[in-house]
Formats: sequence, structure tokens, C-alpha cells
Amino acid sequence: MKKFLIQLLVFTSPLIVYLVYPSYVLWKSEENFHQIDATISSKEKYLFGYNYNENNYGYIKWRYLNDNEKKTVWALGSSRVLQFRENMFDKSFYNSGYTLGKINDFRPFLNSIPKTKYPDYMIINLDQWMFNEAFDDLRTKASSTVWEKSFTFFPKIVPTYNTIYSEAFSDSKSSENTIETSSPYRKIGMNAKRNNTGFRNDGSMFYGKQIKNLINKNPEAEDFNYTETFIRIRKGSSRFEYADSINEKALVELNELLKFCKENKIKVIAFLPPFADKVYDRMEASNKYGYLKNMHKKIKPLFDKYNFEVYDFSKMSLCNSNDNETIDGFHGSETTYQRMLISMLYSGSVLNKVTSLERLKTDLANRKNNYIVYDDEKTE
Amino acid sequence: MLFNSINFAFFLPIVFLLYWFGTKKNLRLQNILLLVSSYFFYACWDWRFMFLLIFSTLLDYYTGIKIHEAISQRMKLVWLWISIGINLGFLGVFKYYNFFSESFSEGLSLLGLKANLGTLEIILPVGISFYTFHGLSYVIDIYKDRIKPERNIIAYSVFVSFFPLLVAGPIERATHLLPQILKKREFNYSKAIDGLRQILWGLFKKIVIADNCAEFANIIFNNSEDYSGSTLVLGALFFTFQIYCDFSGYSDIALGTARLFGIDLLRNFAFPYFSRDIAEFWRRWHISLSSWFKDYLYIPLGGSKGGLWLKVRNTFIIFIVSGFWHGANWTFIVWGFLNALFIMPSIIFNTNRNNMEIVAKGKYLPSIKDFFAIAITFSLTVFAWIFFRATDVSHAFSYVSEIFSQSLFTVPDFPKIGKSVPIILLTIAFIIMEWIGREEQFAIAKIGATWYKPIRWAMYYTIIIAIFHFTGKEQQFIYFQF
Repeated sequence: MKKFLIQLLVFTSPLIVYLVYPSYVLWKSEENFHQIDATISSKEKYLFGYNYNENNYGYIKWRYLNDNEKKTVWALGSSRVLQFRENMFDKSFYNSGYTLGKINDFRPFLNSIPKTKYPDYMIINLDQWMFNEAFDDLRTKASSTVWEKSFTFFPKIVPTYNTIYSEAFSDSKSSENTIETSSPYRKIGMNAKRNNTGFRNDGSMFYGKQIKNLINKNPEAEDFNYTETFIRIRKGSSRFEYADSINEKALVELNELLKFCKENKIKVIAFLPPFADKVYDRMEASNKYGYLKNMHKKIKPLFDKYNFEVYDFSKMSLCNSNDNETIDGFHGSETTYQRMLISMLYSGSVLNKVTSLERLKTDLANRKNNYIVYDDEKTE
Repeated sequence: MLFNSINFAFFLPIVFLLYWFGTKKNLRLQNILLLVSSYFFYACWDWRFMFLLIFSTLLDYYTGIKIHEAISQRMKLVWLWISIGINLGFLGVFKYYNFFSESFSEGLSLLGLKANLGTLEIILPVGISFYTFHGLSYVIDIYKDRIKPERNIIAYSVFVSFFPLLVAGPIERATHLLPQILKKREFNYSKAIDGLRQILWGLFKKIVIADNCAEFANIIFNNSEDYSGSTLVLGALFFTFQIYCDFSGYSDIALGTARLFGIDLLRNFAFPYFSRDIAEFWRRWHISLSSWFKDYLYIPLGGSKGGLWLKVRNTFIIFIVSGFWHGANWTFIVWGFLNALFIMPSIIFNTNRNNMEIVAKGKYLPSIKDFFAIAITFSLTVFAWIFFRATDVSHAFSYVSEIFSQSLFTVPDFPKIGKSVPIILLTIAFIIMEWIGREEQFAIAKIGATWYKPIRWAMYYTIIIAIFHFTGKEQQFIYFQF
């Protein structure tokens, strides 16, 4: 037995040495080795911000919607719906954005939630590229169990551990390099602890470090002056693939989604989310994004058929916002979304039943800065 | 708790150290420890179903004694049927009720009648098919006077619940496992090292091959209507290696883990994809289940003793029942039926015992005849797996019909085809390793055994690095659902 244990120890010691440091970092930051169910259902203010386990977000939102009482209003979609916040509504609200990125993910997600928890009003973002065949040919469908299974308690050894080692030797992203703020949030995950970035209790996204950098006009801000988005446009890659016309299959799927919502008595309020004006103009000038033209006109009849709403906010100026209120080339800030909501209410949206135009206008006038309307935390 | 999880990586060493050091090698204490850790292992899935496991254990323990003590044959039979009835009753409710209910309603609707028996919203207790069959073989063996009932409740409970085999087998026999549980166990160095080697190989199969193949198989099967025949063939091949590496990988980990505790479990796989006919395939695939059906169903039905017609009938019965054991879906039944069909030539021409030895024993390569026999058997197996994997029978038929279309002769294409190339190459390397080690219990049992230690360890480290590097999206073991 002694011989066996010694042999085993000698054989595994390089492995153990390799595993110790990254495991400690992940444990300390609560990126892994952290059971989140209790935190999700707790009343304490939290910020979930992961660096290596972004899939956890899907689980967090799925869990929240399953465990809590029905919410009157949902926001559902990709990262481009995340700036709607609980403060903007008078009725209960949850932002389940960032759970999906393709048009045929909507129905599987809805199927993963008990029907009794479905909202009365659902705001969805229809990312323009959802209708671009070169980005999504709709050949893959999510299973409705994806979200339930997306939580990672234990880390994936590779590439996470290798990345932690390489970061340990670089100054900029060292695990010790965290932003210290007097935060009201309990921060879980490396992105929350380092960059003050993550998901709040209402499911909305707080871009702490990014906003701080934008306010300070710090070139370290992500996509500063939209340089990275412009590269995507130049290359025709990463959601900015070129396409002349709308993918008809996506329209069929959209119709199915709307039909599903009608059957389940969910009122849908959809919008085409904004690009920065400069970005949209660049895309338009390139003549390589023909599918964007008349997109709103093409999808509107489907919404009319079910008596639902759809708004075209494809560029910042369409919702009375501007490029000074963008987070990056294709994400508006909380201020943009407040303006968007106000535009919807002016147009007579059913959302008038769940929020107050006058209050939103007052809140907007008293906003904290270009990016944040409702103050939670120091960002300047 | 999954074998391929970090939880298990903590659980196993703790139990191992307590087992050999914390019990002073006292057999009773060792068995109590095994039982407690097995229940803990099971409770990690869902503690509520622990009661079902304990009830099933107590039921078979008690009825086993009652069968033995019964004076008349009639009373023995009564106790036997009480055990069988309750065991199969649980299995029926948890696993098959919804299937029968839906099939009955559908059947009536075909006749223009309306009936809705309703369905139950219950989850299938993990391992129920395995521990139920454990218990059944035990009481049947007592009834047949093959064994005496075990009166030591701890030992009997360990026999049913021993954690390496609890959730997905191998399906053990009392005659094989109980004596080992009752005998004093000494630590055996070479057995333990062999066990670790087998665990390592099992992890490689599961994490590197099965989980990665699963990702591509899922993409292709879930969207099969969009793909060409050639891509669908590729999808079927991915699933073929997924299911083999998933299940045999699990079995390797189970056998290797048991060896660390000085216990040998029944072998479950013996390189089935190198079989030269379907009969040989079934002697090498899920051996513990095949032999269970042979001993407790095929032989009691008359086996092969009553002429050709009886043999054919019994073969169809065990294959269809075996298919149904896998799950409450017509796809499994069709899969069983297909296998019965494929084995028929061997049954009719009495050639089913032609290939008892592993192919090309003592040689590097198979003969041309063996090569073609392996290729044909493998192709039939792949074809049957399509039915096993499909969501329903019509999906399977549309999958097959698309394969046999002109698009079979196009270049395969699906969204992650580029990412699949390294996995295809790794699978080929895996097949070569399996071929080299095919005369042993598992592929790397003897590979490198006589090498200089640093070189041998380098080989093991290469496997570990491959496991770390090619970690696919973690998938549940397929057989947990059965």
C-alpha cells in the first residue's frame, strides 16, 4: 500500500502543482466552486460577472424565472436588450437578456419556463443579424434544456487554467488587479470583481469599468471610437457578415414565435436595436448590408397580423439618442433604452399600462450621466 | 455524481483512504463504509429516490429468505412473484407508464376511439433498471436453488448498491459479487495500478471521444432534415463512437474503481466493433445485460433446444425486450428488432458460435475475409444505431431515406465540420489503440507494461493532457437514462 501511495503521489504531483494556483484564483473570485442558487433567490444586491463561465448567465436567468413569482414584464433577447431595468417599470420586471442570440432560440427558451410564469408583456430585441443567413443559417436549434444545464460549478481545466497562468504573468489582467469601489453589490465572478461589470438582481447589465473609461475618455475602453466594430465591418465578420437580402427562413421562425406568444397570451413589443450612428452610416455606405434596408417594413406585417408592436431603432438617432450615449458600436446605454421606452410610449405602446411616461421623462432629465439614468454605484 | 466530475475526484480518494486505513481492514467496517458511501453517491443525484433503492433492497432481501424458507414449491413461487411483481411494478410506473398510456391512446385514436389515460410527471430514478435487474437475478437464483439467500443485510445491501456499478452497471450476479463482498479483502498493488490504468482509459474514452462526438452527433441528428446523405452518415458514425465510448468508458471507470477496493466486477465490453458477425457483437457489447437476458429469459423460454422456429421466436423476444429495457420508446424496440433480424442468418445456419476468439489473435492485421466481415458487421451496427438515436421512428426513417439518396455522394458539410477534424483523427488513433490492445481486458492494460517507467508514464501523461486539452462539452452518461 505504501508503495502504491508513493507512486501515486509522485505520478500526480506535477498535476497537483499545475492545478493549485488557478483553482485558488477561481475559488477566491467565486468564478467557480460557488453554488449560486441561494444567491439568485436571495434579497441581497448582487452582481454576477464571469470571465470564463459566461454560460452561467443563461442558467442564472433560467433559474430566476423558474424560482420566482411570475413577472408582469420581461425583456428577452441578446445582450442588446440588457439595458432595460426594473426602475423603468411600475409593474414587476425581469430582464432575461443574454440568454439567446438567434431567432430560433426564443421558442426553446420559452419552452424551458413553466407557462404559469410567462409574462403579460415581453419586450424582445431582434438583432439585425438574426435575419442574416451569412451569420445564422438557422440550421442549429437550441434544446430547451440548454439553459438548465449551462451552469459550471467546476472549472474547465483547459483553456481556463492556461489563461490564468498567462494572465498571472501579465500586469493588465492580473487576478490581483481589481477595481476597488464602495459598491453596494456583492460581486461574484472575476469580471464583477475586476471590472465592476455584471448582471444585477433584475437581470440587467451594469458596465462598471467600461462606463468609467468612457466617461474619462480612456482609450482602454472596449471598442473605443468603434475601432473594433469598424474592423468587423471591414472584414465582414463576427455578426457583421455581408448579405443582400433578408433570410426568409428567419421570417418563418419569427412568425412561429409570434404565434406561440399569441397562443400563450403574451403581448410582444419588439424592436430593432441601435447601432451607433457612425457605425450604421458606415454599414450603409459600404453597400454590403442590403438586408438591413426595409427590414422593419418586411417584419412589420407579421406583427400587425398578431396585433403586436415592432419599432425600428436601428440607429441611435431613431430613438432620440446619440453616439455619446453608446457603450460600444452596437450597444446603447441605459439612457438610450430609457429614450427608446419613451418613444414607444409616445407611439401609444401597450407598455403605457406598466409604466408612466411622465415619470420616465423626469428620471431621464435627472439622469446621472450620459450612460446611467438610475444611480446605484460610483462610476466616475 | 458523475465519474468524470471533480466531485468524484474528491469522493474517490477519501473513500479509498478510509476504506484501507480507517477500517483497520475489518471486513464489516469496510462493508459499512462501502454502503454509506454508495448511498451518499446515489443521494448526490436525488436523495428522494434513496428510499426506493432501500425499499427495493429490503424487498429482495426479505423475499429471498422467504423463498428459501418456504416449504412448498407453491409458496416459493408466490414469494418469487411478489418480488418480481413489485420490482417490475416500480420499473413499469417510473419508466414505462407514460409510454403505455400514450401508445394506448394513440392506438385507440387509430380506431376512431378517444381515450386519455393521462401521463405522469415523474422523473426516472437513476439506475432503476440496473438495480432492479440485480435484485431480480438474486431472487430468481434463490428460487432455482443456485444460491442461498444472504442473511447479512449489510453485505446484501452492498451487493445491490456498490457505488461503481449502482447507476449504470455492469449488472452483477450474486454468484459472482456476493462471495467477494463476504471475503476478507487485502490490498493488491498490481490490481490497484491496473484499476487506475483502466479508470484513465475510461476517462479518455468518455471525455475525449464520447463527449466530443456527442456534440457533432447532436448537431446532425437534431437538424437532420437540413443535411446531405454523406453528412448523415458522418452523424451516425459520430453517434456510433459516442455511445461505445460513453458506455464502455463508464464501465472501464466502474471496473477500475472497484479494483481499487479489491473487488472484480463483470466485464461489460470486449472490443465489440471488431466483431465479425452480429452474434459475436452481442457477446462483446454490454455483456452483463446480454448474459442476463440469456440466463433469465432466453433459456427459460426454451433457448435453442426446441427446434429452429423456437430459436427464432426466442431470439426475437429477447432482442425486442432488450430494446425495450433501454427505454420507453418505439425507436428502442425497432433497434432491438433490427438486431434480431441481423442475427438471424447466424441463428438459422447455426453459425452463431463461429467467432468465439478475438479477431486475428496473435497477429498484427486481420485476414481479408475477417476485415470484410468486420466492415459489414460494423455497418449493420451503425445502421441500427440510427434508430437508437433518433427522436422517433419517423425521424429514423427520414434519416435513413436521406442517406440513401444522391446526396450520399456529396462532401459532408455541417456548421462545425472544421472543428470535428481533430476529433475524427483522435477517434482513428483511438481505434488503433483499441486494435493493439484487443486481446486484453481493456486497450491500455498491457500497452507499455514492459517499457522503461519514464516512457510509460509519458504515455499516461499524454493521455491526461489529451483529456485536459480536448475536454468536450460535458454530457451525461447515456446509459444513466436507462
